[in-house]
This record gives sequence, structure tokens and C-alpha cells, in this order.
Amino acid sequence: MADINRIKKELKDCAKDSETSGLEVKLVDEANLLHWKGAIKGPIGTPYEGGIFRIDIVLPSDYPFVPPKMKYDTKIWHPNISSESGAICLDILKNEWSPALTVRTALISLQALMSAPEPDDPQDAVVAKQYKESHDEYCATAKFWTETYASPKMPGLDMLLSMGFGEEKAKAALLKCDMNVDAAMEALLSEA
Amino acid sequence: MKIEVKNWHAVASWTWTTEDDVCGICHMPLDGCAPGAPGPGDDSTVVWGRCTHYFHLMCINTWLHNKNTCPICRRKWEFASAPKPAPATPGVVRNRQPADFPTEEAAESPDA
Ligand SMILES: [Zn+2]
Ligand SMILES: [Zn+2]
Repeated sequence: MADINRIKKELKDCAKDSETSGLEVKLVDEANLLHWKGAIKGPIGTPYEGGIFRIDIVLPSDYPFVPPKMKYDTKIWHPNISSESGAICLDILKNEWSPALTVRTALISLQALMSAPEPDDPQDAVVAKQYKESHDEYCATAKFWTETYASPKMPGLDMLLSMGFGEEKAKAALLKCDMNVDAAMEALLSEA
Repeated sequence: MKIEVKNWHAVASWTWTTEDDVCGICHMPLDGCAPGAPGPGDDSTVVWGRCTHYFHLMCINTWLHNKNTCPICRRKWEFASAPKPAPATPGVVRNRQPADFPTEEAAESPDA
């Protein structure tokens, strides 16, 4: 049985300093404490700068005695993260997990991993090879992916804004409708 | 001299939970109720490791089934008696008689 009190406390602690930490978490469904979505700001001075990277977080039923299951929802070009599936290679999410760690410290570790990739322990062999052998290419690709997939600016947002919908509402509707502009527009109209 | 901060960026930093009276595993007060325990007090006993870290007995026992290490410092976990009231410096700890530390083994399983 997962430790519900600890999980609630973790959620609260994450909310406290989201401004300064560049980290955000929220529940996917208020009724399910075990499924979170996190967001990490791309670290400054890296090819991920300017991007917002969304992380899917599932807490197993024996959390915190086993690590949270985390993967990138946002596509990212990084030696330790699968460019296909978003799977993460990070020791503390595997056998170096300790129950003294939290989702928040795990997200901070991901931020650190984005600043300092470990190509010798790769998840994505192609990216790792590029990182080591043609670093400029790696930077260019990682930057391109950040602009394409992690830009906080959403495709279709401008159109919804020009129609007079509020930014927050428009963004929420787009997220809810998997970035489908038509569906988002319909949702917004039915709300009004 | 006038300094105008044009731009700054936060460098991530974090520490282990240092709220004093909280169990490092369940994050609940040590004098409170461990998760799954019927109540505080005897049902939520607090135990110390030789490394001086402490947890609810129920919490550390659950973890020791996975790995025989301290969740905070990752050293091999060995049960110890509660520390003496005098603040223990590392040197003092080393000079203690072994009798201060029961030698019972912490868990069945060696490092997983
Ligand atoms: Zn505890
Ligand atoms: Zn310890």
C-alpha cells in the first residue's frame, strides 16, 4: 500500500517553491494520488534552454520503498533519454533509489542530468555516439528538438488568442485536447 | 556603487530533509504514527542506526527487506541504541565501547 500521507506531503512541498525551482507537478486526476505530471525548465546554458519538458510520473503501490516510474512525455534529444519512448537511464530511478529521496529530488536530478549528460551510460546509443563524436551536431539537434517539441508556445495558440480566448483557458483547452486546435476551439466555445 | 541585477539563474541545490523530528522515510513526525501502525508510541517505535540516522522501526524494517543500507547516508545499516544526550562528534563515536552498540544483525538479506 502506497504511503498516502507522505505522497500528499510531497505534493504540497513541490508546490511551495515551484517559482524558484523551475519544477512543477500536478495530479493528472485529483482522485488518483499515484499519477502525476511534472514539468522541468530546460537548464540555462544547455541546448534545452527555453524548453519546458513534461514528465510522466507513476508512483508504484509500494512507493517510497521502490522508485517512482518516470519518463519524458516531451520528446528530447539526450544521451540518457530514449528519443523514441522518453525512457530515462538514471541510477537513482533504478537500483540507487532510496526512500529518503522524493519525486522532487528525482526531478532535480533530471534537471542535473540535462545539464550534464552521461554518454558512457547511455539510454539512446545514437544520441550518445553523436554526443561523443560530433558534439556540435548533438547540440544543434538537441536545440532543434527543444524548439520543435518543448517550446512553451503551442501550435494553434495564436489563433485561439486572436479569437479572443484568454491565454490560460486556451492553453488548458489545447492540453486537454492533445493540441488539436479544432477540438480545443469547440471545447472553449461550449464552455462560454 | 549601484548594482543592477540584470539577470540571474538559480543553480539547483537540495539537502536531505533536515526537519529534526521527522522520519526520513515516511516524513511523518517521529512521535507520531508510522504508516500502517495502529497508533503512535509503542506501535511506532523509533530506532537508531550506528550512522546516527533514525527512523520508525516499521519504516526502516520495510526498507531493509530491499537493501541493507541507511536510506540517508547509504552506509550499511546496523541498529544502535539511542545516542547519549551529549552531542557526539565523529571522534567520540569511534572511542565508544562496542557495548554501546548491540551487535545484532540488521536484516536477513545482504545488499540486494
Ligand atoms: Zn516513518
Ligand atoms: Zn545513515
